[in-house]
Amino acid sequence: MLLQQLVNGIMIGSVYALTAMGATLIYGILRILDIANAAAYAVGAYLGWYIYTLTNNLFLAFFLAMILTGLIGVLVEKYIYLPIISKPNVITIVPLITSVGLFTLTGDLLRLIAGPNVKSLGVKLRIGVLQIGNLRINPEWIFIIILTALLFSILWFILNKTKLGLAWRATASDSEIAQAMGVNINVSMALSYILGYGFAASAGIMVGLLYNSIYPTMGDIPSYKMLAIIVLGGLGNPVGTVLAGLLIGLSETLVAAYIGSIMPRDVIAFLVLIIVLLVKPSGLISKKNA
Amino acid sequence: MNEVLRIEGLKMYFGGLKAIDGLDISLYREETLGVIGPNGAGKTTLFNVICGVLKPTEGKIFLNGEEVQGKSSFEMARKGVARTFQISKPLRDISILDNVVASLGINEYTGFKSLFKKSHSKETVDKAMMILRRTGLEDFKDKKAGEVSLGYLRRLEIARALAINPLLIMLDEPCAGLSNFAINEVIELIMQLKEEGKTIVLIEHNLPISMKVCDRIVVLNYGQKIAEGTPKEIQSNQEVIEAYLGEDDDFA
Repeated sequence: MLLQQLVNGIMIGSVYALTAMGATLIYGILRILDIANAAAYAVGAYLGWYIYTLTNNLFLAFFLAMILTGLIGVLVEKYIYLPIISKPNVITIVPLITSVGLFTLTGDLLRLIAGPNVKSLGVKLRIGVLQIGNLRINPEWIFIIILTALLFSILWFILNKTKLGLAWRATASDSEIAQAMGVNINVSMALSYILGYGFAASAGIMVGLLYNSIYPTMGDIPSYKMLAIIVLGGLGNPVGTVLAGLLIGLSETLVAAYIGSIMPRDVIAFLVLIIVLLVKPSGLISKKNA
Repeated sequence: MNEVLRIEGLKMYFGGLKAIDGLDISLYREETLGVIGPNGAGKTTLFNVICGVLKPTEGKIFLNGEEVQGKSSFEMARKGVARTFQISKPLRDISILDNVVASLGINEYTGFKSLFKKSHSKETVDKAMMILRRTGLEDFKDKKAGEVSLGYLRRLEIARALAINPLLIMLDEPCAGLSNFAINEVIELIMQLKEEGKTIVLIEHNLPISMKVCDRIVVLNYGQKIAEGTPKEIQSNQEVIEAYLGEDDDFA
């Protein structure tokens, strides 16, 4: 029973981490809390649904939806956020409000274009239920776990093993210095958005796949839960985001299993956030001397 | 002589403030040029303009004969202009080694194509280690740059500047805030660079250091050049002494 709950918590937590990773990558470079990352989650789910309906190929749906949403992200960064943050003396609330506006606008656009009703993916996976002793994992989850692990491995590899990733880390640490090292920070910004919105899109399709439902307001809960996760992870830190996602996933599952539904599930993320910040005000993994 | 840098009629205004007001400077290969002047004379602004951090209001900058004013700072870095900062700015979240490895990548950040380039090839790491040995940072290679003391950070800044294989090294008060011991170490490092024939521009508030290290000195005041010459000539220049009176007693 406990093992099953732990596994469930880790599975849900990894999807949370994937959802929030975009916001972390974007904050890491542009210092913007991009709520519209949750819009990318919904847009990605719709694109995935659309492509899957057309081609009946789930891998293609994931792949194309992630790329398309990532490219939309680059356009959003280049034509909306960048002009705003490059103006002198912009107060930080301006891009934040912009992102809330973008998020709301996207929800309404989805409703206008795709209609208000719930779409179902109706995917039949050709893998069976995984049963190890009492532990039981559904085929959708097996698929999601493998894909999430793959995406995080790719992210880790890019950030730690390639020149592009090194340039990204340099920019995240200090963009002025990174430029003095010859790094074009526009590329780092674009990378944040391609990966960030792409990851959010994949998370959107995953959740759409799990609950077999995609609807215009599906980004609402992620929009605030992702904030709890990225702050808990120490703002802008990819490893911290994974840990925070897992911690919140585990807390939700364990509270639901052993304490019962004394409070709405989505409140737990913020409870965990408050408790951790009381003990460690800079989040799970914080920048040193920053 | 081979002219590395030429500045012509440079002006940098911030609204009504004339930080640099009509400046002409030339710098030749293998030369160490000192830039001195009281606080607010425009020294750091001059660096920021040359490095592409600021776009000049007016005037021209030539690097090896090529007109470069207004280019962005990463382009200037790729053209071989290396700088250190008055307030040490390492990449705090990454290791000392990676700070240098990141600088060594200068010509390989080719946009998204750099996704297919290894960040820590053996060759790059070997080169980085060589630079760390030269700057006395070898033992700290795995420490995060935010965790070492100011003296080491200054050396790291110089290490990073060396890593981009610079045409021109610009040092902005490399000795500020250091102990006498650390100052001597930094001076020794600069003297080594000189011996190797590097072209250097040095901003230094501490005049004895400038006098010791520089071949030629330019004195700025209110964004204008008030004197230029060898350290000896500058030392006896009446206008310079007046500009510094009450500002700094280093000259006494």
